[in-house]
Amino acid sequence: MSSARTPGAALVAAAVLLLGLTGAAENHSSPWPHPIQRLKLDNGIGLLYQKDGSSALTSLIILLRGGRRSEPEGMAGSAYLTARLMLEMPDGRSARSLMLQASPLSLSCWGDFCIIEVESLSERFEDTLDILSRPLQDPLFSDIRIDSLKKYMSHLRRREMEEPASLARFLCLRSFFGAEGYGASPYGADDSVRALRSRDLSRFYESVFRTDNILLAVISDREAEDISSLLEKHLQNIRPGGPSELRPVAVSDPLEKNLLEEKDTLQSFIGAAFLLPPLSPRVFALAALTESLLGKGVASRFWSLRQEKRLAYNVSSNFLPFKGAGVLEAYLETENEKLDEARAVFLAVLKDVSNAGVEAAELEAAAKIALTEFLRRNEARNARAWNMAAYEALGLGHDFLERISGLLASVTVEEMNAFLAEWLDPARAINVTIAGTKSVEPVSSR
Amino acid sequence: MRGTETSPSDFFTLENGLKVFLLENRNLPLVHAVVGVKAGSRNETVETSGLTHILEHVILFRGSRTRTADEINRDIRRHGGHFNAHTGQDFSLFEMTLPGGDADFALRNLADIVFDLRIDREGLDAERAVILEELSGTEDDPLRSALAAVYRNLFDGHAYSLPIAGTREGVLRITAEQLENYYRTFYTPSNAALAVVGDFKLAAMKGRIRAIFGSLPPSEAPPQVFDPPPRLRRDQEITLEMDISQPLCLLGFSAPDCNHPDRFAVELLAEILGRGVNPLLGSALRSERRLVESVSMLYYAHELAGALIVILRLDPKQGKAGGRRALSVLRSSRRLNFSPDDVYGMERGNVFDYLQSAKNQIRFSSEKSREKGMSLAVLLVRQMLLSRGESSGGFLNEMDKIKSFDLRRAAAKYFSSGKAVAVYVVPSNPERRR
Repeated sequence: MSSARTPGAALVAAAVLLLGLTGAAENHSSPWPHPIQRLKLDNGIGLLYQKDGSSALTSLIILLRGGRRSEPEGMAGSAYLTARLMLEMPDGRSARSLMLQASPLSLSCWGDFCIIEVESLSERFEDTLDILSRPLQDPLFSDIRIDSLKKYMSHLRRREMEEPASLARFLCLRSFFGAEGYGASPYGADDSVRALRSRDLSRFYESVFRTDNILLAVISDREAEDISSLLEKHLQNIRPGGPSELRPVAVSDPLEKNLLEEKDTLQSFIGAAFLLPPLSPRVFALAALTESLLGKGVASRFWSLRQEKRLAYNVSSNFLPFKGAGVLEAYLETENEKLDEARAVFLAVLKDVSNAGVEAAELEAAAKIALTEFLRRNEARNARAWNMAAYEALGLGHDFLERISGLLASVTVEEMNAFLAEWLDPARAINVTIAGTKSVEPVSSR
Repeated sequence: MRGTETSPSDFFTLENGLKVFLLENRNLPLVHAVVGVKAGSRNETVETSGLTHILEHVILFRGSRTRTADEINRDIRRHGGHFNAHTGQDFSLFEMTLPGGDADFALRNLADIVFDLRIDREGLDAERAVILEELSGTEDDPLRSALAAVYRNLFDGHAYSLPIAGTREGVLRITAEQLENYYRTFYTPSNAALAVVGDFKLAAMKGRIRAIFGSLPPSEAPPQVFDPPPRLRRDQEITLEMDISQPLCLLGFSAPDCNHPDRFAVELLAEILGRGVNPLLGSALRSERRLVESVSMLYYAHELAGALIVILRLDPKQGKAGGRRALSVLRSSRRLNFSPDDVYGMERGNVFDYLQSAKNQIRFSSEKSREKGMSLAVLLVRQMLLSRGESSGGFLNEMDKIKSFDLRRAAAKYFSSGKAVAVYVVPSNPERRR
């Protein structure tokens, strides 16, 4: 059993986290055959590139350092709405040209950035870029388009509130960070979105869409020089300039730590969320290990709630990395009549992990599971390019994807247990219950 | 195809009848292995609904003849393994992903867990309780509830209408003896297929497969002969009330099975109408009033029949108008121009080439399917278990042969002449808004 329950060990771990010192030596061997290259376009935009010849596709990530945290006060939803306007084709001809390329586009807005994801057959990459670069560099802030997108955002908000896990996440982030910044929905709130005018969005665009604020990531079977010259040719009209202003991360210790909602469902949702320290490579590794040991894979700590106690089908834990402060969420879903028992066992597992920590074998297994999960999540090139850009923007480094394996393996039992003791302390958790109110109709069995 | 690395592969059948496909892919240090067994919910009746799914759970989580569930789970965790399973209408899948160096462990475990099962009453009861939890989760989920309702009605009178996860009655009724008989009947090498994709050397992997799976005793599974589902005789409309704020509509149509020659045209039709960058159905439903918030279309091609499912997120203020309008657009889709070839002279410039766009989209999806080892392994197993290999060329070559005429013919056959099931999921309490 761990001996890292002493205040001294916790202090050492805290110092490691704050100063970014590393523990045991990291093994730097990359799991990918081709390295990630850090390049710069002529206009100063950063480009992360990785060659991958396993399919004839090109994935492009356009990361805008202008997520929820950059939204001006009272303007929650402006980051998503602005970025969405940048993907609206200026005319029918452009829209049809894009359809012909069959190159999917998508957008997501997070705490620290928004990401535009473009995928195409490599032979169609230039045509896709040509079409896309026009609205990106000169979006149309028309009232008709804005009103239409506001309606769409209201639909996305409704969906976010409908699914228990996403509703619980929204409630926890709002409790930790307030109604704006990290705590806001990417799709804003009814009032804030209604109040957004075209001039607000235009101003936001002007402040965010600048060369120093953009990071590109590409994974392709095409060569780096080829990709760089295409990007330089098509993205030459982006205004130069520095980073947009970031609001400070305001973290509050919520007064109300037990949140309760009701839903007319057969199952109840039980969740807990923990605020983690500001992000560093070390914190990322520790949080990924915590996620793994709590709820990833067979024989995780929550697994017994399903396997032995038969209290749940769905158990999970997730680490949400923000630059200013990460969050770890854990949850399960159980039938309504088992709610009290399941909650007691769920909280007892969390308490035990925080109080008693883990032993070396459990930590080693958690690291292996975390690594397999990490590799699986990064198999497809669009997901990998997404993470390459996100890790760089979060300050973890452009090569973090290549270093994670060594980092996970380098965490010691003492360091892990000090982290668990400090950051998974049940007194710091926000507990969410979405209590189901429906009953299973009795069935006759033999 | 530019710049694409080739992947060595091999297909063979072991003496005990197990079909094997190996695909070397050294891009990541992972090995993905999938065993598929040709037994699914189609092998059930109303009385035994859920049998295959319970068996999947027992195999996955309740141990083999030589090891307890706890031992297996801890072993898999110690090796960093990802382990999962799925039940379908036609077959069941058991998947394992491990770091490349642990390929031997992955294969030995799959062979042990899938082909050397121990079934006991205690394990069955434990999984029964977990499955009842799973059923509640499914019933709470608007999309999955609606999909189950579409299948229940589209394939009424056929085993495809049964819920894959089973009914509560079925799950409570099934005995360990039934499970044992079912397992002994269908879980044999000759009724199964194995695909391994990932970081290994082909020749060495072939030797491992022969050593681990070649020793499984041969046993003939009975021939599986089924009637196809009867035709739907009339349109159906079903309304489910749930605690939601965003109404949902699913439209279900009969579609060709996975070996039917029409499947290529239907795949392209689904791409044009309900998928891709700007699907035609979405444009039609948003052009006058904003009747829907999103549109998507799925084509499930099973061995005995297929289903085309349209998923519409409706505008809460427009009631069922979006679903009814979508039905009307689909009914008349046989008259649409899908390509400039459909018109003459000056008109050609006004017709967008939906057909070429869809072919490009399918080429994109085909390339994309090569990126994830597990998805690729699942596709290979599906192909080995279900394909009758009747098409002359590869999938993309067959797609390329499709003309606009074929699309209109398919639209007429499956949308205009066929009956539809419409399932609406509406808010049980429309006043409640967050």
